[in-house]
Amino acid sequence: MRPLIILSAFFLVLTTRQAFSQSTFAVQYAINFPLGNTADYIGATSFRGISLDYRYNIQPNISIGVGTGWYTFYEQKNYGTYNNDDGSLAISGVQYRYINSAPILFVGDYYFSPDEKISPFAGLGIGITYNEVRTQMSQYYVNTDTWQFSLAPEVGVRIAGTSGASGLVSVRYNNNFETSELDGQSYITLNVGVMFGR
Amino acid sequence: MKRKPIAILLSVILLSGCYPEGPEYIEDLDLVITNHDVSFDFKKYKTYSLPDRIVKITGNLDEGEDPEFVNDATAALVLDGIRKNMQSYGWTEAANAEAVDMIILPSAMQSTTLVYYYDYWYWDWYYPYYWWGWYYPYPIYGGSYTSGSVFLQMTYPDGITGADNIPVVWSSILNGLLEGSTSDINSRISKSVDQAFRQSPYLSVKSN
Repeated sequence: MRPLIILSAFFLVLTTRQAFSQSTFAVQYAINFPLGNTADYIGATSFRGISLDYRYNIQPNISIGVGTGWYTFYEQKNYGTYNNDDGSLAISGVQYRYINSAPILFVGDYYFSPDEKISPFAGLGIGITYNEVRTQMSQYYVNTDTWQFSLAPEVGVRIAGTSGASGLVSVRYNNNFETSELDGQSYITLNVGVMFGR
Repeated sequence: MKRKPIAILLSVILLSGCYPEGPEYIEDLDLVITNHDVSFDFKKYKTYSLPDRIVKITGNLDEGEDPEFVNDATAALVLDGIRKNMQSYGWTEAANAEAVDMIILPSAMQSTTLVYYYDYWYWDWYYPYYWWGWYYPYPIYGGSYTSGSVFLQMTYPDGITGADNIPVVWSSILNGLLEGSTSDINSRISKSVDQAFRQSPYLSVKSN
């Protein structure tokens, strides 16, 4: 719950501020494709995600800011038997797997054609990601949650629209590094949304 | 300030999307856990005994107080299931409980609370699911429900310790919701008993 409160507070602060002409705010629907350890645990693509981004343009073609989001992965495993390492314990049932992932990234973007209607960009996010992995069987669950250091390169396209709003499509590779509590997690985020400001 | 309602809406979306979907049917919640002593060689043994009733765990018992028992029909279902599976693994049921290799002690608990307890006093015991750190989740489904557990414990009387604790060399917890018709519940209990043995092939004492 704590990350949600932080995210919500962060979001409220951002959106209740006066928007300056040099700054942009983007709301995006996020589809996430699991990779690596994440895919080993949940192979299914996540269609439950939202990304929020704020940028400040320090030059016409360079912006810095913060990005966050909330991505939920879910998969139901068929009835099966799971064993612990030494084989002493076995547990059978239908397993429900969840990963909730919320990055908080400091981001720098470079726009290749900032004055064009269609402007490709590339960026890099550095920060932390809250990852919660939950395995539920029957009425019980095991839960692991941790903050992981994250690197997230991104490429995308900004499509200028009317009234100061632009379309935004981007692909971001989220690489969250292993901690003592959780293996490294990684996934690709496809963001599609709207950017306000210019 | 114009954007605030959007912020609130998005916050609600964030809060509501953390644990989508989940179990849809009662049987999706059935769980079978087995645990055994990996250093114990079951193949050295052949005989076992069963009680004719199943103790119902209802709370603390004062010394000398008789425990409650599971109704005869359900008990027969569980006991017959144990017999069938033990026989298929090559075990022989012995009438004399004092001269057998193993004693299987079934017990059961029905609960509408969210806390498990286990305080029967015949043998020393630990909770197997502590090992994996299982917890009850938040009551996300709302309302109340009745869940039931059948505990099967295979004890090894010859291994009794100086402190009079009898080792439990194999154990199982069959857990599920006691919802639906009696025949449905009985069918699920039978399947769970079979599953407990199916996932414990090391119990087989058949010579191959």
